[in-house]
Amino acid sequence: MKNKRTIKNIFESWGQSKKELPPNNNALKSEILSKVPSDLGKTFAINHSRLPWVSFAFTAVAVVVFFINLAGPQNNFGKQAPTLGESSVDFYKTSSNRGTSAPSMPSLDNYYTPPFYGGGDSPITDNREFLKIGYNATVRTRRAPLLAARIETLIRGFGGRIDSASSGEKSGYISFALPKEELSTFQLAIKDLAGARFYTEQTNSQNLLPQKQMIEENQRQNEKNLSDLNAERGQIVRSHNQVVASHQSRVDSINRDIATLNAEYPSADAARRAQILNIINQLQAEINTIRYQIANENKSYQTKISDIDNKIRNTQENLRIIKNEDTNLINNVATVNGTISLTWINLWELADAYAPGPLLAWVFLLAAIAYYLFWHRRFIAVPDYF
Amino acid sequence: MNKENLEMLWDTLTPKLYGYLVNTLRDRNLADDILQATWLKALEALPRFSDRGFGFSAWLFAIARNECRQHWRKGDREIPFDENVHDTKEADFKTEDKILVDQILMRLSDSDRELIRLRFIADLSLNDIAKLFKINPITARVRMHRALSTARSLFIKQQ
Repeated sequence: MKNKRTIKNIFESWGQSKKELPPNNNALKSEILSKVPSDLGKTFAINHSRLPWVSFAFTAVAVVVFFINLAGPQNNFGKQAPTLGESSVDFYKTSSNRGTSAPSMPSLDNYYTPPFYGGGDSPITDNREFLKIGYNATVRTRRAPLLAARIETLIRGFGGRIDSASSGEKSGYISFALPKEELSTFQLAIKDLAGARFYTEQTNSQNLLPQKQMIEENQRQNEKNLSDLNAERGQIVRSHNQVVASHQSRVDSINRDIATLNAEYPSADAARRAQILNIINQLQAEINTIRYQIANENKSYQTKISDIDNKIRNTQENLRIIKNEDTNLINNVATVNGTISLTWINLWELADAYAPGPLLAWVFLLAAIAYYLFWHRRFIAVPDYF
Repeated sequence: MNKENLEMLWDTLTPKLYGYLVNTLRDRNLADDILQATWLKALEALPRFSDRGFGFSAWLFAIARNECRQHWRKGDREIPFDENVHDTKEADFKTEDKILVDQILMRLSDSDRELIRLRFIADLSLNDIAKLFKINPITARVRMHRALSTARSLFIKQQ
């Protein structure tokens, strides 16, 4: 420690001894000071207190942009669902239109909002679910044709079906149907293919319980009608049989009377024979009348039976149609209808996708830093020396 | 800042700056030239000067060092010391100590030598030296400590 202090003292003495003025100090001093500008003090004072206001402004704008962006996505996310009183786009109508022509490409902010159906008159005790799922995705890409081809291959690979497809240099559109159980895997595959940063999706589901209940109600009604018609037919047949049997028994009775009279006829006297013939003639006339009534009854019966058979056939046809509707509904529930839109992404958006936070904020921040460096070079003393 | 202030600065800083330049360049004529160039550059850049926590003195020495570097870039580096030609003003410093310090300095590294010059001739603070060397002040303190320790060891050996 003593040595250290000693060496320090020696160096201090040495340093003092080394300080000296140049031999021509006065001349040099006069020459140098003569070159001092007259407004040196003013300039120096102004520059010394100057601040990089432009940098501050850029930084402030960057912060504002950042906070606006923080609040922004909630405002852009989806359209507001229509309220109870509003009419909305019909789900199936929308679906059926998909195949006819490619709609305009939706932007990232233009999310599909499922229409509001409400629960209808379905009682809460019926908690069955027949969920029809709709899937819409938007992929931002710079290679739309290639991506469209890959997505089509992917859909077919998942056992799906392409309903319509179109692709251009900068955009593409695919409408498809997919088995419901494949949807979640398909979503992951698409996200992986397109890149999560450039992929937005929306799935919506709608319980088709009202349709199902309507089908069931129709089925019940038609089955009841069929049952009633069958009962009515049986009643008509029974009634007809009774009438015919009654007429037949009457005819049989008359025939027996005629047979009795015919048996009596050979042994009867002339007066009795004339009487018997008269009675037989009356009985024959009565038989004719009854046969006429039977014919009418048969005719009426045929008409009624034919009419009710027609009704039964119609009802059975209705039941068959209802059963088809039920099958279609179940198939519909088991199928996901979806669309994928491919839209062009420009370089700014591409950079924005990768930037942590809004790119604009970063640009302003970089501008602030760039200006600060410029200001630093300009207003801070000779940076090369520091 | 006005001319009077500058005159005061000149009177205060020039002995240190000239002493530093003579010791660094080992050539009084060259030291004269670089002293002049340093002040001229300083005056030229003075409107843009901001101390940013470091004084005018440190700034002036930064310019001087830069001028030295530019000179060396053009030609030779430090020339061998010849006290008869270059450095004869040692009246108030014992010859024995002078020889001792010169021998110690000769055996120190360039950076340690520069550190000692700036600390003891230029009277710069360790913070200013750290800024000139573009290193952390703590690093500058450590380097100074090591340089002095080395010098002390050499001093003991010399004795």
